[in-house]
Amino acid sequence: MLLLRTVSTVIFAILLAALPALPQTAQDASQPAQTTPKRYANMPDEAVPYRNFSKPYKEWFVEPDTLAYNGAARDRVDEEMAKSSTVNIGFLGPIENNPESPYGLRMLHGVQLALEEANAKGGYKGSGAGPNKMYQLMIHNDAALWGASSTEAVKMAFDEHVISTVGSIDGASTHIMLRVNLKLEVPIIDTGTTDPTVTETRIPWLIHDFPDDRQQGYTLADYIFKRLKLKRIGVIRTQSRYARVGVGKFFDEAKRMGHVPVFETKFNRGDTDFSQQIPMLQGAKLDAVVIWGEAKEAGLILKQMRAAGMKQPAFGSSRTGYSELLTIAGNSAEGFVCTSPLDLSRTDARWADFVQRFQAKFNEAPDAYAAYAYDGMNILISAVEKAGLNRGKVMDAFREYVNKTYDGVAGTMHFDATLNNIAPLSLARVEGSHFVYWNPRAEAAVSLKSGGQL
Amino acid sequence: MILGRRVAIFWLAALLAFLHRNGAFGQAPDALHPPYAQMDRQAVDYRGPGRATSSDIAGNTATIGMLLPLQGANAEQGRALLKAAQQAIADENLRGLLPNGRSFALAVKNESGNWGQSTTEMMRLITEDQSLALIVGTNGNLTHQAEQIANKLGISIVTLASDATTTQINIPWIFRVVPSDDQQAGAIAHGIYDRNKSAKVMLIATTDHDGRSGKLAFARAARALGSETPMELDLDPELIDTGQVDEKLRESKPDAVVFWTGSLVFEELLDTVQSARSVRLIYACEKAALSILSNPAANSANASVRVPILGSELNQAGMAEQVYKAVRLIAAAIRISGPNRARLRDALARSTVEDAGKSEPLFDGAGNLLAKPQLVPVNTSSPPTREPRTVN
Repeated sequence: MLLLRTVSTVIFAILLAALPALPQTAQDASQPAQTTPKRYANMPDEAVPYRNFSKPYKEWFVEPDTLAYNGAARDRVDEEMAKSSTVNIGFLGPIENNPESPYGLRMLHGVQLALEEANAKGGYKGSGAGPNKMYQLMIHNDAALWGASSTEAVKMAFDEHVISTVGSIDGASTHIMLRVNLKLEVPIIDTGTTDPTVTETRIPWLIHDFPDDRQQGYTLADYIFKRLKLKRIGVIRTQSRYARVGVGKFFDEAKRMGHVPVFETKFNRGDTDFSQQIPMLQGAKLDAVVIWGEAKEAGLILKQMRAAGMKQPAFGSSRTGYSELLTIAGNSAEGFVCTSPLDLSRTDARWADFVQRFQAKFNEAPDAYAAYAYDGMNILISAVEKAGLNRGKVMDAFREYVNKTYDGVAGTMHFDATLNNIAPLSLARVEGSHFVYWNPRAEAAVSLKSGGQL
Repeated sequence: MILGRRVAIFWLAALLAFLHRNGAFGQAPDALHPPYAQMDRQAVDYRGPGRATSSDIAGNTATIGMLLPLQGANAEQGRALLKAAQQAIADENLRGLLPNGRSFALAVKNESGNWGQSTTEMMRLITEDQSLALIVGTNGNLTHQAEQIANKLGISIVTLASDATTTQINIPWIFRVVPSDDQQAGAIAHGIYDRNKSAKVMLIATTDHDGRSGKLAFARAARALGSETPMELDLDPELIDTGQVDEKLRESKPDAVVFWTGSLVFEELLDTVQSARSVRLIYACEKAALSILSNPAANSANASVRVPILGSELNQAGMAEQVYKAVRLIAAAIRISGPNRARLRDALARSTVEDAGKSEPLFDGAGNLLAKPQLVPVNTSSPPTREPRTVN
């Protein structure tokens, strides 16, 4: 008996020793030590395209020199910028005449708060002697007209001599501004778009901190298909780029998990009557419904779905997770789960202080757009402080975040080799008319190895 | 009421006169709003890595990749071009191997297929065949795809496409060995409006990428000479109806016709255009005239077609000749650069041509040929004949 136990113990010990090193825990991710994801965008195994059929000739986006810049911008002197009494920073976001302006205004407020705090500390080179230049925001509206952002980007570069630009939320506008800034060699910090293709251009003039559709798609698909084992999924989405690109990434992930969504239907922003779409969703015999759009329409859809007798679990994209959904849907929202770029229920001092300062200034609670804009502006200010008034060197300072982390009010960001924040995002479930947050993919962060934090 | 209307008309006329006097009309946009900056296309350069010997391509051959139409309507042409390229490789190997004993080799893939499909073949040429440079044909669309790949992977593209926009996007890996649409359009417009004073010009263009690109280039060239925009006849290259073209010609009675089409459409319509009574002069872009350039008639019994071609060493006489010369051009550059894509790019950018005993640069900074095309009459007494296609 003793011999048997001894043999068992030895075998168990051998097995334990043979196991690969256990991954770090989620807590480890908060240590100042993060880098190199094992795969682009921290992609889960099942999300790798064609993984069973072919090996790629080349894997972009994971090499540290993915955004290498060999141009002459570091040697260029902008005399107007040097002469200016202020350090100008361009802002492009949907502020008016744009259905995305609620997000754009919060983004603007986040940026303004960070800038105000930097100026309160003395502005540019605030700790140095002599008269300091204050930071000044040059605000431009993203007018939701295709191509209009190019005009604004040109004005910022040539009329306002900005050191860098912030923006935008719409993927198309950001793409266009990115092309202009590529030619003009002006850095961009994008704090609002969910479009993952922006950083997939390998244009070395952009850093992006807002969790994108890839991360949303991975998180939602993982939860729906792997955790809840649901199979027949239907999607109802807005007719917008935000939803089109987001659903595309979710579909990719779902397909690769072997669960091609069986049905997709659309609606327009502002629609209130979904009596056309709901019978179609009912007829598709779904296990669950995914709503990709804004909170108002999602709330109405939930209400009308439940009234029609649909009891399936419902899931939503990041913009559905607002209190407006709770107000509109009432009890119909119970159990609804959506992705969330940050955990709004956090109580840590950094977040609590930010919420307090934001509310004091703007008389409203911050959302994800405000938080990531605040962090983005702080990243930009520290880059300018470090690099000086030279756009090429500011971009170099951004580039130092490759495979590094940044701890901000929005949480810990993990920048990959494309300077995209690939930190896994949270999910939020409606329980008792409140959102309850958790992060099911936090373990994915453990694949990040030790490195450094800026 | 009438008085009010007259007053309004008076003030409108006064405003128009004021604006006219102050130069608000008839000026180029640049004159009214000077641009913030102008991109210097002559300064296009490659400043990235890859020139070190550690980036050299290993192997016993120096491979030149080619995309050719090996299937479909242009397969016959593709085979002819393949022979020309093979001949060039053989001639180059006869001239001598590279210093380390490498020989020149050709890797060929099919360019036919749906939009984007050729990019897969390009990837194979680059990654599996380890090509040092790629040659692509007259298709501007395909050239655009090729140069986007080239920009990512760092490999030179030598193109036979005239689409001027391929060298207007500041990608330092593209070299065009034929006159661009802009250059050709300038030469044709000069011939039509300055030399022959044609008043009624019809531009026959296909609705595909190259037809649209050429049409715009010709309209720009006509405007630059202060001439009226030509009458336009847009044709779907897959649905050519000679009867309809004949009818249009009789209706509009142009005295000059310009072809901005592929060679198949040109061949199909040439008889029809030559038969039109009003037409005194026929012009064709080089791509349209490829077949008559390779096989010109011996005499000028019938009307000739004026084609903008180069008078330099890269004198064009059909696409097979162009391919042959493109291969030889790349091989000569490889002899300078060795088996390295970045250095080969530099060598191609510094290629020269002998002109009146002097060595002159072959390309401008953007990869366009510096030599200007001249209009040359090509006799067409026996144009190639084809079976007419069925129109649905």
